[in-house]
Amino acid sequence: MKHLCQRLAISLLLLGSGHSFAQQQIAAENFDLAHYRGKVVYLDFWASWCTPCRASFPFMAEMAATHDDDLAIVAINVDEHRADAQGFLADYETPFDIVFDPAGKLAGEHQVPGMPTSFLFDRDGQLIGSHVGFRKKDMDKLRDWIAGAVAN
Amino acid sequence: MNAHRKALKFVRLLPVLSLITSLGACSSLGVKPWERGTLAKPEMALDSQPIVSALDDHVYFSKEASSGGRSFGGGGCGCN
Repeated sequence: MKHLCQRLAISLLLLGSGHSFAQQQIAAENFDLAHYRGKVVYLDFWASWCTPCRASFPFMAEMAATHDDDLAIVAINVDEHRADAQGFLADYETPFDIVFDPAGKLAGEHQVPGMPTSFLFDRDGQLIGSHVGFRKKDMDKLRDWIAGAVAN
Repeated sequence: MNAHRKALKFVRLLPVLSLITSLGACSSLGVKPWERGTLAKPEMALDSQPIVSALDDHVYFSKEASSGGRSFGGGGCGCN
């Protein structure tokens, strides 16, 4: 119930500001993977100029709905200009955390090989693997990958 | 006398050596995969006929259900 009230409050606030639903918007300095300990974490690096990301956002919303509290999705944006990112976000439902990393610090730490890249971490924060790119035919593979991690 | 000649030889090589070592700076050339935002803009494509290319790209994408191979700045997406 408390969770529902929190989400309602956040969504009302954000709707008022013209943003679509997002759980949290975090700056790169404040991001810490340890906050999500106990949940499987799906980290996705995206940008407004990355066309496959337009397909990955509905997929991530679907994953958030399917796995709920077992899975924490964090979408890290690497756009240099916040306005570009906000423009992209206005088009999609985002029931997950968004991190803004305009300096590319987090991207550099994770040595992102291409855009988009997603990393899957288990409940102890250990890296399970990564996936570069996003194609429609990858979606089933990704679903199984995430479901497998959540089941463990 | 011999030592003097050797010293001169070294001094002559010095500019060449410093040029070669400064080439090491080239190892930091290029953009990182997450820095391709500006390159992904359509105006950054090396193209003399942008409108024709855009129309051709659209036809190609419609027929082939894929795109690329033209002058992208590395694609800007997960295609390569």
